[in-house]
Amino acid sequence: MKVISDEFVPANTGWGAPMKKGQVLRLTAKSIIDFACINLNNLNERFDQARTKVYNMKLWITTGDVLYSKLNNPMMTIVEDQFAGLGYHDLQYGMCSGPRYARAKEEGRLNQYHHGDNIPIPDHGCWENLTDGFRKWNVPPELIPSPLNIFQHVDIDTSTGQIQHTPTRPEEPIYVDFRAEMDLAVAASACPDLAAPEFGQPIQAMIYEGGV
Amino acid sequence: MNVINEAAVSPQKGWMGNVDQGQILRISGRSVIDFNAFKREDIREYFDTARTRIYNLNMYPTAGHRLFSKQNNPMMQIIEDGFSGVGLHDLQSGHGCAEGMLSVLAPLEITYEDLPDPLGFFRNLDITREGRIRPKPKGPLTDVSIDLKAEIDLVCAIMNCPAAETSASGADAFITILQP
Repeated sequence: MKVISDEFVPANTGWGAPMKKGQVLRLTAKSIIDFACINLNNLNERFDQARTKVYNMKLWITTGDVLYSKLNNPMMTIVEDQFAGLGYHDLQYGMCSGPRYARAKEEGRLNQYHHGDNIPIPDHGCWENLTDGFRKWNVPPELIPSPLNIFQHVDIDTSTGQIQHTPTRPEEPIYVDFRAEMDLAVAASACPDLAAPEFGQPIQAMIYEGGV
Repeated sequence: MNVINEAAVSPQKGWMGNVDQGQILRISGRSVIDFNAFKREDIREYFDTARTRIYNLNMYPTAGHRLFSKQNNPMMQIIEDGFSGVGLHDLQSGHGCAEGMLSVLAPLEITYEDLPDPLGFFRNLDITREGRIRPKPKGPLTDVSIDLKAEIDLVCAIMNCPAAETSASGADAFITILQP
């Protein structure tokens, strides 16, 4: 394995890097990673939750599934998913953020999103972190795409549509490998959870040469 | 309630217009109607499918749910849903006819890349317990309406976008703006 870069990303911070078509991104953690990618040769072409769900014709994606852009082009393929069998990655949530936490607290709904009502909340979250991760490409916050929420296992009742937070996470750090299908800017946010600190953990972001 | 504005929208055509805070936007029809909304004083704040799903903690928008912006502010509330019990509105898919919506939104100068995902009224997706998404080509058989109350001043837009496989393709959609 020829490693291009291997970086430690502290809890509640963002990370970003360019990568070449064919390279593989390995994201390792035991708590949620919000992840998004952008076409390096057209910074307006971004990962898109809706296109990804409809192309794969499913709500949950895993090994073999493809991340699509708004312009309907394949951006990355999941080549290994160690969360398979343990839980599903999420394509329903947006990104948590300082204002998102503040609203949940103001409305007395922290318990619906997190792990209790009377919990410490961070002043920033994944939206700010992903904006930071993409900073060198000057992506404004309102254009940060809704992400793939890695290791965010959510209960969805597909008959009623009800979406429910769960505490299901990896017990130990595990990884997901994504092969780039075009030259990309990629960014990841390490979960900001303060209420259950074991859920707000750092991540390891490695890029390596794909192929044999 | 006073009728402020009315419009008929042919298939493959769209409509864009202002809806003021407190006014009610009534959308009627029997084909898939893709919907977008923007905050009038700053269109960088727009209706967002993910924020809306998670604010309501539900994938299927219906009466009582609120439409939220990317910036996490309330934009509209669904106050009546004539499709309830008939089928499900769609917060999963992208635009069915994106180019059409882009021409409707031309005065806002929005590019394809920046076009926010829509709320697909009357799309009636079938999602299995395993999370498989299957097309369900059965829209409403007769016209149904959905009423949305604006919580801020908005620019709203629809595309009457009948899916090719839908039996209801070819029907007009109707817009009514009501002042309570």
